Amino acid sequence: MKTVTSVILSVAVACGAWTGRAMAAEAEVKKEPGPEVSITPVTTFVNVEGNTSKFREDQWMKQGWTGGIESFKLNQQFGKDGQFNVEGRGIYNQREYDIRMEVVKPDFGFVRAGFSQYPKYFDNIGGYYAPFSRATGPGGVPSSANTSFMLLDAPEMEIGKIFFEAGLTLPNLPKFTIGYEHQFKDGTKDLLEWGSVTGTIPAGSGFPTGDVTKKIFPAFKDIDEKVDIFKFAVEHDIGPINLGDEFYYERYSNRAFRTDDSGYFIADGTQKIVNVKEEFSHDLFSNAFHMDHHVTDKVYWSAGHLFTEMNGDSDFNIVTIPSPVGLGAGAVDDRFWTIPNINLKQDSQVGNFNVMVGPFADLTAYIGFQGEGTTTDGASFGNYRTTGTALDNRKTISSLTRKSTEETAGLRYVKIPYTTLFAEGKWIQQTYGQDVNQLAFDIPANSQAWGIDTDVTKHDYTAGFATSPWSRVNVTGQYRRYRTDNSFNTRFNTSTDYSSFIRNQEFDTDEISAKLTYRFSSRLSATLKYQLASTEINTTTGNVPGAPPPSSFVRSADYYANIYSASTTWAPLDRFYTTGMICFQDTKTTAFDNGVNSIIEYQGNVYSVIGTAGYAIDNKTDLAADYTFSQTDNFIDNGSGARPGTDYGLPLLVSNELHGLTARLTRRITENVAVALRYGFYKYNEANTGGVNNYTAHLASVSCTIRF
Amino acid sequence: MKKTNLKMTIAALGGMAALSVFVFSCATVERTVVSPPMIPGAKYVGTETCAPCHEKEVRDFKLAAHARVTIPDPKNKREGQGCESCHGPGSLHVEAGGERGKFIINPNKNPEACYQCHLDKQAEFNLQYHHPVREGKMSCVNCHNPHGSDLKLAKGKHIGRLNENCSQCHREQARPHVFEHPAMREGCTACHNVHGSINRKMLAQRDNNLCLKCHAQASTAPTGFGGALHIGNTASFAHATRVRQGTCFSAGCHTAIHGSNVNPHLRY
Repeated sequence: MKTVTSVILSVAVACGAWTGRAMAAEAEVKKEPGPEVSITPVTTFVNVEGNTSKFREDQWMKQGWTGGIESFKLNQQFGKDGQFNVEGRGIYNQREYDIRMEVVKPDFGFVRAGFSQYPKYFDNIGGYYAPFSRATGPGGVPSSANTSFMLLDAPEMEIGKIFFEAGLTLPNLPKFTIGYEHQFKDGTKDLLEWGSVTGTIPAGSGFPTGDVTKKIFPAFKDIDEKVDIFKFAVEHDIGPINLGDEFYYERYSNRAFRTDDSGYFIADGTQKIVNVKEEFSHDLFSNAFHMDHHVTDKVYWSAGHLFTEMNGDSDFNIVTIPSPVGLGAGAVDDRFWTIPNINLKQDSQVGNFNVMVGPFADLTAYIGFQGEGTTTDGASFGNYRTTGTALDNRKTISSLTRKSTEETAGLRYVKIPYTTLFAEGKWIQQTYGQDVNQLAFDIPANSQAWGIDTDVTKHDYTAGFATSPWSRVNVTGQYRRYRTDNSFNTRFNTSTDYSSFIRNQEFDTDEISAKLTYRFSSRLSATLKYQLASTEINTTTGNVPGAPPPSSFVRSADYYANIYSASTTWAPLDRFYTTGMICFQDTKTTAFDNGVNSIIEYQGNVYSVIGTAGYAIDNKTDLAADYTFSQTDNFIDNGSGARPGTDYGLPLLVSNELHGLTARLTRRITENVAVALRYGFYKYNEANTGGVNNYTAHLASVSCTIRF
Repeated sequence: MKKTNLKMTIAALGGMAALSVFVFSCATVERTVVSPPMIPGAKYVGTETCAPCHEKEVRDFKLAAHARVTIPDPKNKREGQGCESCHGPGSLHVEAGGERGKFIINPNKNPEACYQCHLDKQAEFNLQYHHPVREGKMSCVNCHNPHGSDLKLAKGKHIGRLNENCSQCHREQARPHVFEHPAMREGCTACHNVHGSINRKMLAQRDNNLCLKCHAQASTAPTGFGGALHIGNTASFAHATRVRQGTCFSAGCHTAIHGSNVNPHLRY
């Protein structure tokens, strides 16, 4: 943190010094206006009843007192067109900071620098299975009946960056930009990798009786991710030709440690834990060159080339820790892997060329071509020991080559009055060649190798229009058809592994969207919008000796979505406006299930409402309010209820309701001082986790804006 | 009964107070408040007015995807076309000498301009799991280039490669692996609703449908396999029992869903 502060202060001093010199020089010519400064201190209190971790995750704020500077702005003009700007905010005990400063003099150069950081919160529960409700959770966490398993501490992570950028923009000379950026993610995040919980369900509960295992135990992951980026770019116009080159270097490192539950037994509290430690770092170089040329108003072309090289190293360890009470080591799913040498290398070359022509005044046509070649090589060596002390050393070598070409062509026609017609087509051809060879030195039966070639073709067509037949009306419409065809050819496969028998997979998507905007008057307008998306996925499998499946054609999935939305803006008085938006999304995915009763159709029907209003109470007082609402009601208790006594699976889909209401009263006390009071109300109910995620929250906030 | 009367009295008093404030303010207030993203007192001036100062932006806008929905209007008879459809009416900005950031809307700082057309995206940002655009920690411009070209302008790392936008922040997921998940070839949006979702991790589907839409195979196997879910070609790959316990990626099995350096089945 001290380093960050030092960097920021250094940059501020440098910017200030430069600005000062520039301003002093300019002041000889012209007296400068004073700086515009404003600062808004704020203090906020949030009271949450219910699941505080879920509130923090949804609303991106913590409960209790927070305070700091909601907004700080400084704007100083110097010279004819120079500007020195500082903007920022800092909420101390929310650990949320954002400060950006820039000095810009358009015909000379610029300096920009900043630091930002914000927390990302996660909830602390895993999955939910009603019969496993308990009085207390792991670690003695008190919980109500009918709860989920909870982590002792709700995970949270800090995300941020520091950046510095300077450029020289002298007229008629090449423009240079140099920059450095440090990005970080530090903390803990929740995972969707839930461990198993085994319990005994008594008769008469409506659920399957006896020992049942469900994967609902929550897990978390510690992350320490750092990225250092250095950039250098140069750009220059030689007549009508624009040339540029950008060099980029990135150093990435991530140390991750996660703890998964591998088996928790409710009856005696025994638990098996899996600790996974993974470190990864890479160096990435890239260079991008581009040029473009406006030959005339009717002819334009551009071309570019990107070269990227990445070298990475990784270290992986997984250790199963049996419970001291029972279970013991040596179970079939125990892992004691140490894989210290993992190397990855990726080279990529991309080039493209594009031309736009306007042969007629109202017609624009363009074509583009892009080619790409990428090679990824991976290698690892390590011990994959599972039980006992027997070694299982394996060496793995993998390679993946990707070649891709893409052609684009499009038209835009504007001859019809107040109307634009457009059409575009994209055609992509790709080939993938993948080879994997894993050699097991100690247990030869674990060796495996396979090679798969994939041919991919993609067709993407879009056509549409925008028109305004009357000055009050705007109408747009668009149709898109998108098709992907993957053909797989397994050259060799020494194992019976998935997915050597898949021969072909096709994705067919159709999308329609239409929007109508009508301005009834300068005070009232409304928009209606409709979108339809439909995707079919088809899979063809081939015969593989020894077992099912037979050669067949399968409708893998159907997906469709209807999205209806409408909005209106109404300002009946000069001092009053209101806006409203309502949206209903009706989505459904039906995947292939072969009659397995734990898989049901996915439904994602969501209702959303957003409303805002602003009202000037008097010449010094404003009232603003906004209301947000979303609701989804698709939950199915797939473990009991309609099908009692059958172990069909976990509860599926989501049912919840989220309300958010905020009101803000702002009063200008003097010309330069304004005070704002804010009240917020949030309410969330979630049926699919048995109510454990429910919360109700109230927010009260006072802020004061002072202008100097 | 008493409680009902009390509530009615409070409601009546509240209503009378609100009405009084309304009537009082109507008689005394001379200010105008406008809904975002409007600019109080500004009028539309047309794209041609923007061109002298923003020559490059106006010239290149012909190539932009947003140009498709721009109504040609050389005589400025339609309000809010071209630049002003997103940046708001420009008259005050012009009168202020075009000073940077003065009397002009910057969608990079406020997504309201984008929401005027992208209603469904505004709704998605309002769901529980969303990128923090609503909270001001990101903006639409972090991922989208509103002046972006139909043509690939071939600049920088964003030369038009799949997943490049997402990998700027999600390097851990987007980096190459010894064993890749071919779904990454379809792009992040094959599995994630990237604006917002009702599902954790912004998944398009939270359950096994997410995986089985691609990992499907028919099974007309011998007796005993009816109703079985095969992911593989031998009886040991029957997954019906496993999927009762949880979803493929969240049941502690195929957890390295973006790719693995140690296991071809994307475990660990």
